[in-house]
Amino acid sequence: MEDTDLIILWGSNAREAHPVMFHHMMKAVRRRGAKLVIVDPRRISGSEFASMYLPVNVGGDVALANAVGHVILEEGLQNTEFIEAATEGFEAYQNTVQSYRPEDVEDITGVPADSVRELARLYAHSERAILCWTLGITEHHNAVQNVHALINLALLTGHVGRYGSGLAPLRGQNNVQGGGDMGALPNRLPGFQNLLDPDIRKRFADVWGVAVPEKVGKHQTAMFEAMAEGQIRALYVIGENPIQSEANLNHVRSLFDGLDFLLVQDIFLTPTGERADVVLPATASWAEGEGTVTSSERRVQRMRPALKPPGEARDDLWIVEELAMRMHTPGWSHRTAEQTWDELRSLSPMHTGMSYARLEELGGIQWPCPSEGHAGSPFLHARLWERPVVGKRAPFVVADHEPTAEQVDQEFPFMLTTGRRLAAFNTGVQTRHYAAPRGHHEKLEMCSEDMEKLCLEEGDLCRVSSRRATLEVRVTRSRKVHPGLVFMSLNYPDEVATNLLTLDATDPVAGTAEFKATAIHIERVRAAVPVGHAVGEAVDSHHA
Amino acid sequence: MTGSAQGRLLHPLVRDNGKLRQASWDEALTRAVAGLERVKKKHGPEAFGCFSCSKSSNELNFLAQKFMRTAIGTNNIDSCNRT
Repeated sequence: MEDTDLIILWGSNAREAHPVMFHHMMKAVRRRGAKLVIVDPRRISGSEFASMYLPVNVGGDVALANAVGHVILEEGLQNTEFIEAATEGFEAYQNTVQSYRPEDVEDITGVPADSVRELARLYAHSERAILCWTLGITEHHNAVQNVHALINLALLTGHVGRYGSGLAPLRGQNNVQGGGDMGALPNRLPGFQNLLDPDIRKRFADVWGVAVPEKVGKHQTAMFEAMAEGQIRALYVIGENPIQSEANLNHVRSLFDGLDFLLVQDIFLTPTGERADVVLPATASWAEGEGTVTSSERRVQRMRPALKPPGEARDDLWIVEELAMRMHTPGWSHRTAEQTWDELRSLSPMHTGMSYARLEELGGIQWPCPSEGHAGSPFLHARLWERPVVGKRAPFVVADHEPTAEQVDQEFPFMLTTGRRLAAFNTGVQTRHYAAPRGHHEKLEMCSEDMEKLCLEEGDLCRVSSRRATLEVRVTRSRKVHPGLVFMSLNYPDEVATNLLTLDATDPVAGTAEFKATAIHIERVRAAVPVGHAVGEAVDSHHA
Repeated sequence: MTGSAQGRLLHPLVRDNGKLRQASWDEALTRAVAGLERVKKKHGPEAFGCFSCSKSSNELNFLAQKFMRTAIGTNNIDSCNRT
């Protein structure tokens, strides 16, 4: 990241949501003179450091990416050698982006055609370029199509598989990457190994002494559906707070109330825990436990205990082992974190070379690391640059524009997009107790023009309604949003439960809900300083 | 820091008459296992789901998926990849 020439942050508020990563990006900008481009519906604070800001409409990402591709092809800026030698499906892609002339899709993208052309030239001409994205791309009902549209740009220009060039989804927690890597997924065993392969299942069964179930499981969204249908009756929730983090919360709450048994393991008593039958107090793994985590750049790093856990809180690993042993499951015993890791290494080829000793010696190792002589892999897909290409070609996957699941209309005329704020983390379970310079309050961010139109003053209390719910929140003037677009975070659900409003329309493959696009109605409830003021009259007069 | 933060869970809790109360580890684990086995006996392993923790360690996530696959017998496990 520090050695690249161009960083595109697409749907990523990295300065607030990934401040450490943003710091590394700024090293490239300040020391190397790299260019930073921000593509986002909001003029987020990182834009101050960017050489270009593209105000993409909510849901306009595929159209914009295709328009960039259109310009690259129109001006002959593509990497033809790479496309011919290392990719497949180019012709279909070329045919698709033909109809995305930037001038023709301005209404969809919201981005002036000149800016699209400038970005296309910048991306294609950069020696090295990294395209980063976060939830602005993936929290949509067509999330996978959005990602493909970006991958297509990297394939078109060859900005993949080289040092300082690539595609980088920034992860939202310290170990989202590791959760998937470890096989906490319904269709993959540890090391992303295919559950449907009988030989792989047998390897695990031989080590575990228990057959691995063959049937592909349900991802989180499908589990909610199965709860609604009464198929899933019991949940084991470890360190998650779905009661506040999911879209369309009223629906989620009713699903939890319908369970026969809810087991929660956490470091705090969350609203999810408050609904549990049994709550088990765990250690905070990053400060009180032994183990490893894996960062966005696939780097496995050691964690060591620095503090004693409070009260009777017990180590996460001990708790899971104890449950398995009490259920008389073959092959379980109490072991050290290192022994558990060594079992994983014996089963997952991409982790095999990462002993605790080597992780400590090298300060972390990036997977794949197949043997103890292997130094790890700073970037992936280098094979695409070997001639002939080793293994499969990288496919272009055609993506077409699709409107957001919910559109604004007369009844719900504002588009609400959601996100995170600096100094707060997700549903606030871990951050609400800390002091923050700007305080912990949720506000509805709105531009001056819209505030004037609705006769709103700074701090006025508003009633916000979507097709699913209504809540009250104070309004604040923001230069980040444009007319018709408003913003709220999900960080303070005890005060303002933003996800009551959001829509659970999900991507059919990824299962991610469209948190980024909710049509809402906004009305004033009362003024910011109602003392000695007839509130009801004030509302009436403003509406007259 | 974390050790002294407000709101940390200090004891296992179990639900009695609709309310959570403090319990010993042995009682809480006995209740947890009884609850899991009751649902497993009545509805089978596919009636279970697990949301594993993306703030916790690789080792915890490895054990959580192993638990669901070997102790319960289902692949219904996910980590926080979708929000």
